[in-house]
Amino acid sequence: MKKATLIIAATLVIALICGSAFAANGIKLTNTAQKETIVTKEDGTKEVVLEQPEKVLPGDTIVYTIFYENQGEEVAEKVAINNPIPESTMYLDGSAAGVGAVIQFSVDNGATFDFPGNLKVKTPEGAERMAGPGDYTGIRWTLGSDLPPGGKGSVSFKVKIK
Amino acid sequence: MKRLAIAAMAIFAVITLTTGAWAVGTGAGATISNTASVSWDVGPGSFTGNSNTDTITVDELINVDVVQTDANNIPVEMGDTLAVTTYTVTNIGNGTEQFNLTALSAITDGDDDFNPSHRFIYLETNGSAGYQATDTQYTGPAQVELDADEVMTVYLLNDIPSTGLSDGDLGKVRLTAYSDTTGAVASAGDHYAGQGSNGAADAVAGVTAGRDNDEWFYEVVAVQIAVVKASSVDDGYGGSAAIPGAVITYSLAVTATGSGDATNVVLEDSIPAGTEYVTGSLQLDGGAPAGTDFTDASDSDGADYDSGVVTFTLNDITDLDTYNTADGTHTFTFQVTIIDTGVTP
Repeated sequence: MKKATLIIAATLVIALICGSAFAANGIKLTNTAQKETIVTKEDGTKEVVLEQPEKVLPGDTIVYTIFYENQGEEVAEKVAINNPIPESTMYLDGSAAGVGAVIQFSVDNGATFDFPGNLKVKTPEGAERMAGPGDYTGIRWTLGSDLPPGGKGSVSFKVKIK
Repeated sequence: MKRLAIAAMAIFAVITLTTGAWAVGTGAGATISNTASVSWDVGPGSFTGNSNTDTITVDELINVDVVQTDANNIPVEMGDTLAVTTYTVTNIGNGTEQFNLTALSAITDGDDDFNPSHRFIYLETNGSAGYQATDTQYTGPAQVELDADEVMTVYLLNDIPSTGLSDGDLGKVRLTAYSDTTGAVASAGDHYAGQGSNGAADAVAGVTAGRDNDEWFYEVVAVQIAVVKASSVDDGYGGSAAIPGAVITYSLAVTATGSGDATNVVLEDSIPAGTEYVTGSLQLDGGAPAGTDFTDASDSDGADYDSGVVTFTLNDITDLDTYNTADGTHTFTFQVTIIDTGVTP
């Protein structure tokens, strides 16, 4: 009993060390969610309002922004950020953004990524068809250039709650 | 660039509108979690890391849909009791919700001629389609609890006034269902803190504002049967003198007016004094209806003669067992022979 506790404690320590190692020496990712509401003002123009997602309902649009920062001492190469589309949501077409990043999508839970026009899925009958935004299971942003120490930026995408 | 932004906005608007028309989406209390990961290389080494996990809990959206399900107006006659109109109440929100029901029969507007008198609301609970007394009476507040997408069939029972109605008069009734959370008067978007179901923190009134109603009609069907009797005399000499030996042909022309069906229509006529019934003279529209012999005997052909009385029982005549306007006018005839002087046809 005591031994088991010790092992767990040891594992926790290792995990904590690893965690802080990333924070100190690697790329830190911070993920935030905001609810997007389009408000029609009195003069008829529309305004996009972003707020904390405290009240969300089916049909609401959520904007996810992932901030990245190289907190390490070394230049990071081949930086790729990967975000599976959350359960119970649908990717909104054309919403993925990231300055200088190549944006590709997956329809097979992240096994492969490609550009929208190249993605295909199988229909229930077994035939192949072009994949649509509702078929996407994940997004990958591949940064176009190396990320030097201290380098940072953000990528984002939107989903609709089913 | 500007044009692109507008196009994108239009797409969002369409999606939002469409969602409103659909039933339930992600359930109340469901959590939506998002975690991003990153991979990179430093020289020959490869590294990976994860972001924090962001978790959102979906609130309860309260929406209800009431739809009447009768295909046609409910035909009623004056004085009918417990006449039934049928509705479905569907929870088109995303969480379990309790609903109140109210009935209104005293509606006055352009397409409504009379007010039925409301008796009961019943819930379909005995598993047998249609209202039965063994279904459950709705007695009050929040009695209808429905999960997301669940449907309850509801019956409104009304009595019909026993006087003063005419054929074709319409009596309109209305069933309203409203969420016990929103109450009867709410606006879309109203927020109910701490009142979400299924683990959701809060509830929000959806596009229906948590209430809906539908209406349907009782229609008075008052069929009336008119009979016109006529006679013609054939004296056997090419004339129509009512002399002994002359044959009188009596005709009973039957017409339905109004709407609905008359059942158990029976015509009876006694032959006049001083005449004798002509055996085998019963006819419908100049002959015997298809498949019957129309004999005088008391049998199932719908035509009888017995002891001075002629009887036509329409119930026993195929196609006339329910008599209505579509049947047009039918003429029943019989003949008598004058045996005494002084008979007036």
